[in-house]
Amino acid sequence: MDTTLNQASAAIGPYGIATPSAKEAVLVANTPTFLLDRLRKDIAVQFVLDNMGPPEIVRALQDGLATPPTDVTALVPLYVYLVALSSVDPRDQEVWKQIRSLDLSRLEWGETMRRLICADAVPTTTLEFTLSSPSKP
Amino acid sequence: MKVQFALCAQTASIDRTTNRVSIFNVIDHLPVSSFPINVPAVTFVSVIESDKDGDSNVKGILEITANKSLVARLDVPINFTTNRLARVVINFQGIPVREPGPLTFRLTIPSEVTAETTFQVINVSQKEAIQVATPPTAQQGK
Repeated sequence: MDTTLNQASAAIGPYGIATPSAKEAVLVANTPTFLLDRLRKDIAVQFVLDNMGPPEIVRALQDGLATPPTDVTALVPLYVYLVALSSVDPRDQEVWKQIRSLDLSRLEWGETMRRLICADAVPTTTLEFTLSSPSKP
Repeated sequence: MKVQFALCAQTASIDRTTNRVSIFNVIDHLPVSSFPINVPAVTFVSVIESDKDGDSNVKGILEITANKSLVARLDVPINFTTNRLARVVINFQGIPVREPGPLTFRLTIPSEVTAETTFQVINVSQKEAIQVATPPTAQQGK
């Protein structure tokens, strides 16, 4: 997979991650909670989840955070990657350790959003059982 | 450890994007017109809170009893992570019930907690319905 990780031009193959709707969400958001809720539903986050595994997303975010963002739109893919990590299986502790160790100081709402994401990462045991039929008297 | 809640519903789902649980059609009683029956769909949902930080895996035991007789007993792996909460969502199809009475779901984490919920399976057979609909006699009406 061709994954380009340079801030505003971040793309998966020919498709840019900083979609107009994701840009709008980052530009109009007035709270971290709003931005998290809005981006969770955004096609950009779904696109990242469909095309990248959790370790790749962590690496892409690390690479994006390595250099200071040049302008506001450069923050968009970083927030998209961060929100995409909220869908990681809560039982995948290896990835969650990496998420907790990310230096998010370049993102104004990064730390708060990470706390929100970690708080929602409740592991769920889901099982299905079909039981036998009772015999008619 | 403590139990936040335990209940039975017709269905429950976990939102893929938010990881939040939605519970639909909570079962507080189950009217049944003939016995025995297979209860077609019951979902047991419980949230358990650990009092310790860090990851841990525990084994719970879920027992289903109908009128004090054991219907099913199964092991349930439960994972706790750093945020201390764990959810259990178990879908059952075809729980056999032979007669009216309490249907109990009991999830036990040995030497820790028990998450338990019970609802009544009620007989609403046609015979009883006719009896209810029969008007009182003149003698009874006086």
